[in-house]
Amino acid sequence: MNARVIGTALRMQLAESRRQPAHLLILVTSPLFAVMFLSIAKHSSSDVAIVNAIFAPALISLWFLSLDLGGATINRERWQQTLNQLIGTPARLSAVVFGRVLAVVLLAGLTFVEAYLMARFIFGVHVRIPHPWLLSGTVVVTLFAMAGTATALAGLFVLSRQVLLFQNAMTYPFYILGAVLVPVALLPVWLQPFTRVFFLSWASELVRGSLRPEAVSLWPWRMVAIAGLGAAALIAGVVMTERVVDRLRRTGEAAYS
Amino acid sequence: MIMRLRVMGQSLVLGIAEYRTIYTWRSWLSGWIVRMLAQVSFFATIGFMLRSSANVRYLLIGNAVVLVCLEASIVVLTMAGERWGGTLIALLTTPAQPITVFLGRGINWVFTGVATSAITLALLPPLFGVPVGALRLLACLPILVIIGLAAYAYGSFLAGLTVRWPSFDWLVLNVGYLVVMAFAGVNVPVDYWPAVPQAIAQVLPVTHGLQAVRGLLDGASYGYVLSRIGLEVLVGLFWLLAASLSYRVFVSHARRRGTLDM
Repeated sequence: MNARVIGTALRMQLAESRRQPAHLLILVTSPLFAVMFLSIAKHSSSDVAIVNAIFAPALISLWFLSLDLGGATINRERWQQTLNQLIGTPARLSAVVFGRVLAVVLLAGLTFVEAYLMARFIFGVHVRIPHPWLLSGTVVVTLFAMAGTATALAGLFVLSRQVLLFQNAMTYPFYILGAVLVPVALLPVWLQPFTRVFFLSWASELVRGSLRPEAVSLWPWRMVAIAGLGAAALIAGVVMTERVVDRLRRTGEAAYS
Repeated sequence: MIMRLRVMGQSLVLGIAEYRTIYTWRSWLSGWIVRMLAQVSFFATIGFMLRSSANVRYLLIGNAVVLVCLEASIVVLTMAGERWGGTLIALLTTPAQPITVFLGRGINWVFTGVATSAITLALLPPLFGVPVGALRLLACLPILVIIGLAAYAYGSFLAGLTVRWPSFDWLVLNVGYLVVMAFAGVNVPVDYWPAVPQAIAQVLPVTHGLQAVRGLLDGASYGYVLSRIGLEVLVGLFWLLAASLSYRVFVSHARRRGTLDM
């Protein structure tokens, strides 16, 4: 993918987001999820639950944003009747999508800060982070995986006219699979293998591990798992998007897709 | 009154027809219902994490019941959709009272919400080992309808905001129902909160209706259950009045200035 195209798409998305800040929705909903999770945990006086609840809203926001971006990035072009022009340029559509997604990924990083502030100042949780570098590294790698996954979802959704249905159906089932609050070990045994092909389950475990004093076992491999799944999703997204674009070019259906 | 009921009936038919353009039976069951079952399961599994069957029960029932509010609140998107589609003006040129038309436009969400909530309440408790009597569950249906109507009135008030500022439709919808999920006793009892959120919870839909459902399922006295239902009805009437006033002000203001579609 061309870095210049990615950079231009990134700048364009930033300019668009300034005028239509729809993505800011997660900065409003994330604290409300924090209120729910932290109140449940504090009410039960469970230390384990409190630790798990601190960054769960941020992890939920990551997935929500992936779905939102995956669904909206290409579809908005279609609704605005600008998909033809976009496909007509020499730039690869997948690079444009990835660049636009990257612009919003930084916003997702903010939800971690927000989750910390909610726990610390609204619920009075003394948040100790014994492994700050592990937490920072996990957030960075997870944001990359999120961008890759959003690109894959864009490729998946590009031909669908029922994007909203898919987006809606893929929220809570994936919060469970991503073990954002309840660890994988507590999920039904038959479900556990499926969690392993989803980057968020690895990220959730590492984020929670970074908040506990004991050493986190095999953290480099877990980090590789997140990055690998993100890269695989990105490659799949690029291939899917380019195939769809090729097909639309051949059949001349872009404006009617 | 008969005219108003006829308008409501036609709104229901229109809403269901519109709903069928979005969902087939298959996509409704495999997409919407599975998603809702997952939402309630997500919260119920927190009870497993807390190693408390009482928590599993509390979270499961609370989150199953609040689904009716979530769905009834979608009227926010329906009304914003009229504004986006440029059809708001067409709704006002009908011979019916504008407020009746506006208040009836998303009434279908109450019925689908009750269905979603009832299906979830019937399917999930056995899977999570939560004992719930079948007859008591059946007796909860009318309470779900009352909660749905109260939540619809609340949603209509919120929709009054989105007809004015349609680009905030998703924000208003999400904040609207997440506030209910957070403070109306869905996940933790209302008395867990400090005085201000507790006071707000008293005027939120679901708070009292959910207490009635919990009371009915736990074998509380009929007096207690009826008193909670009465409070839920009062809350619904409060929001209905607020929504009517909001719509009335919007319509008269927009008609005078000719800004209905702007």
